[in-house]
Amino acid sequence: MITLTSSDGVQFDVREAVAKESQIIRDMIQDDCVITNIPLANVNHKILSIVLEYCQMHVDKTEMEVNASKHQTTTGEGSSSVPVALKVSSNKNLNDWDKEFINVDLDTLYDLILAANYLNISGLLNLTTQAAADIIKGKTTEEIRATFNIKNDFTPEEEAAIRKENPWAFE
Amino acid sequence: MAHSTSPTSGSIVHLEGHPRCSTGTDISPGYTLRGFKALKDVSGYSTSSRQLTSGKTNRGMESTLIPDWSELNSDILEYLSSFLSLSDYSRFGAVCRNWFSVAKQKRHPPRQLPWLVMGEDDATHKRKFYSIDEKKHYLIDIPELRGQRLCGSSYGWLFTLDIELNFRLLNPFTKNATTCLLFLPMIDIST
Repeated sequence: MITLTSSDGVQFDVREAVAKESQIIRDMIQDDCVITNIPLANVNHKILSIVLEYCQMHVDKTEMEVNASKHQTTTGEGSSSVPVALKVSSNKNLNDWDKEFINVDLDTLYDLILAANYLNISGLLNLTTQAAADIIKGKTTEEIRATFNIKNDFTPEEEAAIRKENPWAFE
Repeated sequence: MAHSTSPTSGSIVHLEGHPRCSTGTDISPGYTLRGFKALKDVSGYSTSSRQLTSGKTNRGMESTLIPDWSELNSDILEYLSSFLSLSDYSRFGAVCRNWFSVAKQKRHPPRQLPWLVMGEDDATHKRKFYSIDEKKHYLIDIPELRGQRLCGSSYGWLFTLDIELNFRLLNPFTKNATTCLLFLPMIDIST
């Protein structure tokens, strides 16, 4: 077990495999195998608990697959066809779970993106940035600004020049 | 919009304190969560987590920073923009200066099905494109394409032929780049 401590001092005990979903933690553990407590200065407990829920789920699913395919190998029958089917259904379940998991408010999504980037969890960074991209899709520039509460900091001339580059995208 | 000074808004971040030096003993035992069960309870950020943060030893709890999407670091914005189609990407780049600084680099090919290149509009000589994803026509003025016959395409480049049998490679959406247009030399294929 490894203890992860959030920026606001809450400790989480997780299995090493779960913590290692984070590249930054994986590197630390590889450098020094006696690490048991890792303080994470940039992630508060609310976000860390959500991040760990993601890591836990993905590790569990992967381990389930490995065990199932091991079982198939030892029983010897249909070892080529069944694990593939299992993997497909498992991936589908995991994709459904991810979809449900990422259904969060914008503030949480923002914090999750920063945490995924900071902890270097590629799957979670992929999931969170794609969710943000999905929100942008089909929106006008003004709608994007309103949604994400972004101030237009261009001069009118600058903005006109940018729009002129691909005017068809703004029609 | 308040300017965020969040330590998490940069791409380079440091873990506070070296883990080898950390004992974890300065953490109040009351804040210790054990196991995934406890973890799940907190993940909903409901009653249990509020109790966790409302205690008198609520030391080091960060004040809630207002998310500043405009100031996301360029790595994250680049990653995010890689999921956008060309038209979304263009509008993404027009949101604010920081987003534009990422969009103008055009590091990713747009995430979309290829557009169909149709004929020229007779009146305006604009080229007609059809986006299968958006089920939408675009009329786009690309002077370099006027009077050109399209012979094929690859990775966003169009292979064109004009009436004088000049072959060219043109990337219609990187118009500002000096390499958007290549004139291909004549090749003797008779031998």
